[in-house]
Amino acid sequence: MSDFIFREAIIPELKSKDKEGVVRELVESLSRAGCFKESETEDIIRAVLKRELLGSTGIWPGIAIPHSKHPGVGKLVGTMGISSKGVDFGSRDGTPAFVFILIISPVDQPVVHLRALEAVSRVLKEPAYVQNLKSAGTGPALFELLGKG
Amino acid sequence: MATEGGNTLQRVVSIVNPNGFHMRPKSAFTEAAAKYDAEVRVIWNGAAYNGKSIMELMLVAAPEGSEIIIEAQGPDAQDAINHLEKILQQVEAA
Repeated sequence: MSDFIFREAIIPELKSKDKEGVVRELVESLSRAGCFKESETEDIIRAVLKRELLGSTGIWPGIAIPHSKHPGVGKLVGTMGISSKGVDFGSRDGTPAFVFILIISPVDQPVVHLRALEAVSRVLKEPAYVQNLKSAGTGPALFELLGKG
Repeated sequence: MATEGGNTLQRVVSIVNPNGFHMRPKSAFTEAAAKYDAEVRVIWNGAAYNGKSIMELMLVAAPEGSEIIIEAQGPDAQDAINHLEKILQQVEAA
């Protein structure tokens, strides 16, 4: 996962209390990290939220993986955010999400997109690993954990 | 084409979606599979995954043009496998 998660874009404690806010914080963080042109930010936020309308990416207890393909990125980019209080993400099981992984991939690379979701899922299916992410506390600590995932 | 061994059915299905077997069809697949009493597995790259678990199916990164095997075992295995094949045959936007 550390291959495409941008260390400087990780948010160890999200401020937002709702889905749109979380998506906005994460996408804006990727923008500040230089992952795409600033002018693309709003359109990428819209694309991720549009995808959420088709079905929440909160597919596991406590975890959401908002994602989209977008022409504004030349390669797979991603970031992570943690909300210690949890956010209602419309998750399958009705519980709040605490760990958020945002993935944006180029429109013409569906295999890269699939493999990124696989890589994220492979590590997040371990409850102990997720607990470590939730309690890491800082961006560098989170990034270090990603390298171990 | 389905093969039958006891009450276990298998069907090889090609992934036709240009985005591969991605999250939304996986969600639809697991939700549909959950409606059947039959045990459902997806076999891909030699490994078997619980077809009723989105967490497990997220590990199936099958791209367009690849093949997976749907396996169902139980009293309503035939209905399950027919239904699940239809879900995989649907092509939708990303």
